[in-house]
Amino acid sequence: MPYQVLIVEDQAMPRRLFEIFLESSQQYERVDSISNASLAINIVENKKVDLILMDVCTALNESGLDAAEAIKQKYPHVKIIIVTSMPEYSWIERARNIGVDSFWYKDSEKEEIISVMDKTMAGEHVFPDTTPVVQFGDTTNHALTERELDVLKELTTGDSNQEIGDRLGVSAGTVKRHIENILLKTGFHTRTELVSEAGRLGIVIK
Amino acid sequence: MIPFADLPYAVRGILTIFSIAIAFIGVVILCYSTLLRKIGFFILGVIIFLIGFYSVETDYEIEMQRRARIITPLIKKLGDIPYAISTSLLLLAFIASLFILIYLFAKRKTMLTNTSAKEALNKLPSGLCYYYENGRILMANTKMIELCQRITGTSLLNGRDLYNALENRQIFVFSDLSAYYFRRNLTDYEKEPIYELIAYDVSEFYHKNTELKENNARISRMNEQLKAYKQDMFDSIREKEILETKMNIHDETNRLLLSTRNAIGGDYSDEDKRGLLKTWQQNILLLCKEAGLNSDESDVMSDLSTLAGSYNLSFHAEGDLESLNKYFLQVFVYAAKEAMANACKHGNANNLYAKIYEKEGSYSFSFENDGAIPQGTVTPSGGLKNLKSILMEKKGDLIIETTPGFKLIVNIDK
Repeated sequence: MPYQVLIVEDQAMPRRLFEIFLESSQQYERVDSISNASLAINIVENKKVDLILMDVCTALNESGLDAAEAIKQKYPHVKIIIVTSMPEYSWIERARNIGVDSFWYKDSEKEEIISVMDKTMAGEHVFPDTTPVVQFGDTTNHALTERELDVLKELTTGDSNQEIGDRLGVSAGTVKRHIENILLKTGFHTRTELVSEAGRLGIVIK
Repeated sequence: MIPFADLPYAVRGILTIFSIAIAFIGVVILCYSTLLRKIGFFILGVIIFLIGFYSVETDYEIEMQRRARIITPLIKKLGDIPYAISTSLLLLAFIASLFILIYLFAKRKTMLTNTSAKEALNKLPSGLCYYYENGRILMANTKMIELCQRITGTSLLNGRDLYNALENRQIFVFSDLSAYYFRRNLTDYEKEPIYELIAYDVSEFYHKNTELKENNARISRMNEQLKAYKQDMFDSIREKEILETKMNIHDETNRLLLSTRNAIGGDYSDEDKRGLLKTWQQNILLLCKEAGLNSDESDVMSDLSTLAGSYNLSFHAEGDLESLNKYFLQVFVYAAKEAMANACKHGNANNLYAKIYEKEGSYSFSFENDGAIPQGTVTPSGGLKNLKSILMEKKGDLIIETTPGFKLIVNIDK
């Protein structure tokens, strides 16, 4: 009996691609396709779902990771593969912590999605070693430390250094120093420029 | 012992000069002790002066009476005092007065007098003024006098007038951009209430504070811009993903073209050709979809229809979804989700009807189903309770009607 797959993807073309992959596969059958991750748990409650292909940034700004966490808490037997094209640094670790089964980058040349699905249903956990390398100013996203990425993510909220420091548990001065280091590494001149580029590249998403 | 009166004229003359000196020193001691407020030394100074004075007076009377050949009994008695005693007394008085004078001189250098206190206060960089309740000045230093002149244009004659001229401003900024912080305290002097007015120079602090405020305002504006940018970030990510998918499909199409050219000219099996054809069909299907990008509203309708299908319900919506932004669409979806769950769980309904109303200043979403009507009042619990809490946070409310039929109404302010 084919595995029942729920597709959660807000982009029409990638969603259609996944649907085509499933249609051409005899091992998998599509249950439903939705664009809003917050509805996924309701569908899992009402229908038999074995596997979910879950995007992270879905319709109406609903987070696929939040939805995956809720589903895994209530339905741990449902396997979830997070699919994304964004090189956001914290998603892989969060996905592991939630208990997501696999993680796949849409533009990955290493492995096709069907292969990842096969391995996941076989009980394997397929996770990339690291996020894709993205040119970020004069450097790459991999040149930033984890703390710097934390600060960069908080910068996108537009809050002050003090507010950012309170959230991260450090002083405003420390936040300022991290920002200065990032600016030095990337060659950007202002925090606005920094945030704009980081957001555009998808390196940090809050 | 030779009486004092019988001393030779020259000796008495020397002693007289000595006595004058002692009287003079006594006067000096009197003056210094007055200045230093030393009563004890004042009395000593009086004694020393009197010794010197009466010594001179006595010698003068003796001489005058001798010349007039008349000697009064008092003068005779004074004249009969042995010269050793009178000389010793004078000598003692002289030495004592010298010591007292030296002591007073030394003390004066280390003693705080009113003058030295005033001098010190005038050298302070801060302004200081003490005045009575009616404004009469008790003491003011030169700095405060100068500040009063700059603030009021007049001399410091009344402390209350100066304070009133500040008009409750704690920091007064002058035209030369110097800034002074004024503080008034109530104290007392000789059991009478007085005010102490102090003016601190805070020019540097004030200007740095102003600069800091301007910087903070500038950073706040930048932060607002970043917040606004963040709102669009998800849209930006979405567009990026669309573009990347398009690029992948177009690359795939190019590869297909090459493969197809090889297939036409080469020895491809029928199975391979069927595979190529299928891939062509898929890509063409995708490229057809490329023209029609989904909007938020169509996604919402599609998703809710799909969700309704999982409940074995049909979902029908009426109203202008396009007028709702992401925020209100989220509320609509959440409410619809709960309405579906209730319609299925409690009403065994087959259809759910949603209506969107736009009122002045608010939106209203209503949900009705064709299922069983609940008996009695319905108290929100579980999902409906969560919905009510969420709506209260977003300045909205949830109304549950059970007559004539079950109806959920969500009102939310714009």
